[in-house]
Amino acid sequence: MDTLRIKDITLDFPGVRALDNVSMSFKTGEVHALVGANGAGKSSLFKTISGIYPHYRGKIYLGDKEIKAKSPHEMLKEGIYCIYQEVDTSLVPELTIAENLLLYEIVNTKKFNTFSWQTIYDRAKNILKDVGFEKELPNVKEKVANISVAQRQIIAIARALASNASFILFDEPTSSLSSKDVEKLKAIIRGLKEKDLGIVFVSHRLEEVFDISDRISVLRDGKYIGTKEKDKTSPEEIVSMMLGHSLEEQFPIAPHTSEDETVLKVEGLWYKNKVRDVSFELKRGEILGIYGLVGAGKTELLHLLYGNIKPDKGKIILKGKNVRFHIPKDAVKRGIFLIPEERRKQGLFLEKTIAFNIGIANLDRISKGIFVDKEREIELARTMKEELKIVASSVLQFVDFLSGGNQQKVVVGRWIQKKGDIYFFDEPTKGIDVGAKSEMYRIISELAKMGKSILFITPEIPEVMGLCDRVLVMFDGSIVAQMRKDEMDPKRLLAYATGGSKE
Amino acid sequence: MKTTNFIYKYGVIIAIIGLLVIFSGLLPGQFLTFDNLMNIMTSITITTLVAGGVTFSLVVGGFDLSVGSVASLASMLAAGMMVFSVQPAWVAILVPLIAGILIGLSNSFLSIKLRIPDLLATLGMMYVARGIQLVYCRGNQIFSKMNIITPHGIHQAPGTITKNFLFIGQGKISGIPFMIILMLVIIIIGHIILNNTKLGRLMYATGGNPEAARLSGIDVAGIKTIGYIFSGVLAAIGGIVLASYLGSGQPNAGDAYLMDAVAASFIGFTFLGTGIPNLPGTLIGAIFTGVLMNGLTMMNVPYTAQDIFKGLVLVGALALRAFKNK
Repeated sequence: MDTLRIKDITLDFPGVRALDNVSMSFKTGEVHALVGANGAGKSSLFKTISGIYPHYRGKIYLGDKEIKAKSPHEMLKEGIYCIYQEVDTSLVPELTIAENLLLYEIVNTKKFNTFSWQTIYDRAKNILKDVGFEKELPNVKEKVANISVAQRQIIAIARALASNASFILFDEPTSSLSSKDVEKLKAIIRGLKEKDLGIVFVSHRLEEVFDISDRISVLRDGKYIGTKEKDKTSPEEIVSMMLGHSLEEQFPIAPHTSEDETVLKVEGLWYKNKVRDVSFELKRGEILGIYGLVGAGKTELLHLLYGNIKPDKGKIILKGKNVRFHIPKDAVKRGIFLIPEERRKQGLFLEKTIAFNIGIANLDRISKGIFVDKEREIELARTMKEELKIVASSVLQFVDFLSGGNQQKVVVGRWIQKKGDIYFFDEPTKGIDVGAKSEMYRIISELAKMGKSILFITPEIPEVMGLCDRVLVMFDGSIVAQMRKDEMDPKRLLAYATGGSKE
Repeated sequence: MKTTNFIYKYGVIIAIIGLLVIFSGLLPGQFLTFDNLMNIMTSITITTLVAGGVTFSLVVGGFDLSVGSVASLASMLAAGMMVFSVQPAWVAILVPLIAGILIGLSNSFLSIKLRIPDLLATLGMMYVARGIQLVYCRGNQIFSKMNIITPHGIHQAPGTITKNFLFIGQGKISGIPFMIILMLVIIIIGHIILNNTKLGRLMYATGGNPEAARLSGIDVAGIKTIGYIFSGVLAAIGGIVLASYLGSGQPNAGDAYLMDAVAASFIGFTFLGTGIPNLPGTLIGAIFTGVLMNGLTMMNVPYTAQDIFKGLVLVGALALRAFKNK
């Protein structure tokens, strides 16, 4: 048995301490889950061990030997192999499975021109045979671009095994997998454990953490909180370790009632094969959930309503008037605001300050004539910072360095002071920590109380049940069910969303 | 960390001061004189105007390579309006400006509607603008009372480049060349637009993250078009000043400003550590190159070797930026 120990690891970035004196140890022959809210330091720790942040302080030992995590290549030589969240970053999509498997060898060979295709394919097949993945990757001549994400992960795992790694670290490996592939990956990880490898597994999802891990370590705010044997703990205990306090009142208690007035009505909306014949009504003051699995067409539906893409067919009726939006600006003008799914890509101006990011949608409010009044800009941002509890040293801080939850609040803050009455939230709690999540719920429910109507996309059943007055379930582009709060039931929701049940 | 940040922020300024010190030491009594400093400023005036165009295109997330050709075209049109068409100075200024606007519109049409990558779209327009210019002047220079050769014989051009027009590039106000004042005023106005107006915010947002800008309710296509129009107009102003400074229209005379302008813009990125395109930085970038070239020339480094130094300066600026982003 081997151990990988880290001792007093501290990692600093300009203005931020990502890791603060973290010590823990991992063993071969076990699956060790590393959990924590967003910004807790999971990824920083992962990247430190993998050699991406060589400027860490502290020590890393493999057995009794101290090793320096200077680069991923060095760590690989020590038998520590990391599989990144975006597995694609370590693969070349235009090359075949075989070439990708042998990539390091091909790249690092000193000889030139000595690989024949046949050798490459044969070697690749042998590797897959050795590590037992022949079935998963039957055709080594296939291009990586054409295979699934799960299969790509298998290539990465096979590479690790072929290079005699003793520890394999996974950074949120299931985040982009379908549920079927998640099961497959779990089985593979169990198999790796049988082979006496050490598995370190960073994850957000407690359910799978409890499913496959032997021990669970918790990080919070860059600090090590503790390690628990899986059999001797509970999800509740882990959550409270992650939060620093127990998780109650995650959802705002006070229920609110929506009014009868219809503000937005959609009739027979079609878009390619992504959105099929969707019709529904949104009432004033209502939180209307749209629940469905990945690829159900939820995001496309929002973007159709927001004018970002154009419907092939169908009507959008806003307060009794037929509307057609050419660009999102048209929707914004009519008081419809979107908080998009990918906040870094679609929501934020990362190289700009909080004040810029909030001010940009409120230019008329903060300007005199054509000139922006910087004082008013800062004033507005300060108001939002207070109201939404954005944690930042000042509103002149660049948003790039904020945590996910605070970034999301900045995107929301852009719209709060505008005159409008419909808010679209596209998975607003994706990848943000539990504390920020409950604040997001509070913000949404307060908006609804003020009479704003909310369309709230989520793939999480608890969010549907906890927050929504009504929910539309989408499957394969269509709305397959509609439930009021009193009719909601996790099993039924899931059954509809997976296409298992039709009315 | 702190020292690298400091170098990044003030690197160009330090370099300029360094150059001034070195050259005044090596060339006592010659380099650091009012006349020579005016020389330097004059030499970078057109570069800065054209570079301002590049900067505007960069701000909105584009990259205008057609600016050099637009300057050429503008200078030819300005000269031609007066010499061929006997128009007054204001027409000789207005027509090139309109040409700049049209090229800016074409650039944005190609990049936005046809979705051609900006570098390639504006590269294409660079050739088109250069071609129009050459057709217009038939490959010849344009000057007052020039001879025009036609199938029917040789005759003299009807117009001359007017005194009013020549004032732009050759006149002085209290001893300071008017073109320097004009350039500074334009840079200041441009800076105010970018930094203090709604339009400026919208432009930086559009260039910073077009998708987020669109979803925040910004008409990204419209803003980018405006950016390219600014770019075309500034390049055209550069061309007008060039024609006036030379007192004639010289074929392709503006082309050479492209790379100097690009270099100035990119050096400008680093100015005060903003890391984004900005006009004061662009001016500083141009001054840096200007001081360097002037000093080298006075030290008798051959004119032909200048491009080597310009290239190194550009590479250095880009390296500094890449280093900072790491």
